[in-house]
Amino acid sequence: MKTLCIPKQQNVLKTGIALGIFLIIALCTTTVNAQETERTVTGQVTSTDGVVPSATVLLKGTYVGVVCDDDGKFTFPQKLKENDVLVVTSLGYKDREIKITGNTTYIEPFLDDIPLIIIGSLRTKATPTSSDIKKK
Amino acid sequence: MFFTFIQFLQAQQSDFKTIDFTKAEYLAERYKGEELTNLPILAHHLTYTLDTDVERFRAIYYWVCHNIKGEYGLMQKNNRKRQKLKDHPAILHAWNHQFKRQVFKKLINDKETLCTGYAYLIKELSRLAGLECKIVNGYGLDGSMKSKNLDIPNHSWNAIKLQGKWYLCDATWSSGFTDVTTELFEFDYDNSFFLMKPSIFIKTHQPVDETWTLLPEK
Repeated sequence: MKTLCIPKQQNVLKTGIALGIFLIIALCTTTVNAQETERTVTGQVTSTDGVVPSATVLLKGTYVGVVCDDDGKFTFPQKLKENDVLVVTSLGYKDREIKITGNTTYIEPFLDDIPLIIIGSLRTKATPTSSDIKKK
Repeated sequence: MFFTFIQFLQAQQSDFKTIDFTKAEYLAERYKGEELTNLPILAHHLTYTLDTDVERFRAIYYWVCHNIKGEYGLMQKNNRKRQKLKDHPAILHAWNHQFKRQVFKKLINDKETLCTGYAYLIKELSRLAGLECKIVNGYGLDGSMKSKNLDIPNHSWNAIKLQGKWYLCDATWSSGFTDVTTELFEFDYDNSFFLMKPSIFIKTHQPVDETWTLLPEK
């Protein structure tokens, strides 16, 4: 009986190992697949004041990108994959970086305000030019 | 002798007299009329073929001064409101927030602004081109006013770091002037406000923070 049992156990063990290996391979393949899945990403840029029109969305490290429409909406012109980073820039706001994860196809980048006090003095016809100052 | 030495030390345009700005100015001309909706690309186009930081900054400064107009109405509205609300910081803060959005909208859509808009645009384009630039707030003194008559800062300009040294410039006053009677802006590039010698700059520009006079401490 003993002699019969041993091969059976070995068989179970072998099947187990084979299954394990299969699972690992299967898992790896899925991860690789997920990383390689390219998708079109769309989105809308917002801030505390609502949507941000005309912001620029660029793929980090490149000059591939798009300018948002008046509603802050965009469709990125190139298909993106996991771990790609988009940089959103707009005059008057801080830049925002968004990392593409999982199966992201839609993002809503939120832009933080910049602390800036608006003051203004323009050169008028009465303003002395530097040559006038030098003459003094 | 000491005086000459101090003059020599001052960060000024002549530090770069061996550098030819033709290429930088050509690039600024070439991209004339570009929109402000894609600043990273604009900064890239203006600077990537240039070899030195001062040329890169020159292209940015020259472009801003030849493409952005002063908006007299905006300036007057702001000055009136700031004066009126100077004792009500909370209301002023809220007003500044909504006005700031209005200023940026005007800048992006019409390429018209007041000095903070000029200074901010110079700073942003510089940052995107990898240059360190600051906005300096203070008192801009034209012929009609003296600093003692101004109880709140009325002007902003820039300090730019080139080869490890800070320099001063004022794109607002370089770009052109507004005819007070017609309130119309006219481009009239004045190169003297580009990296102007601090001892001359101080006559028309008094920063709130004295460090930014860039003059040796008394």
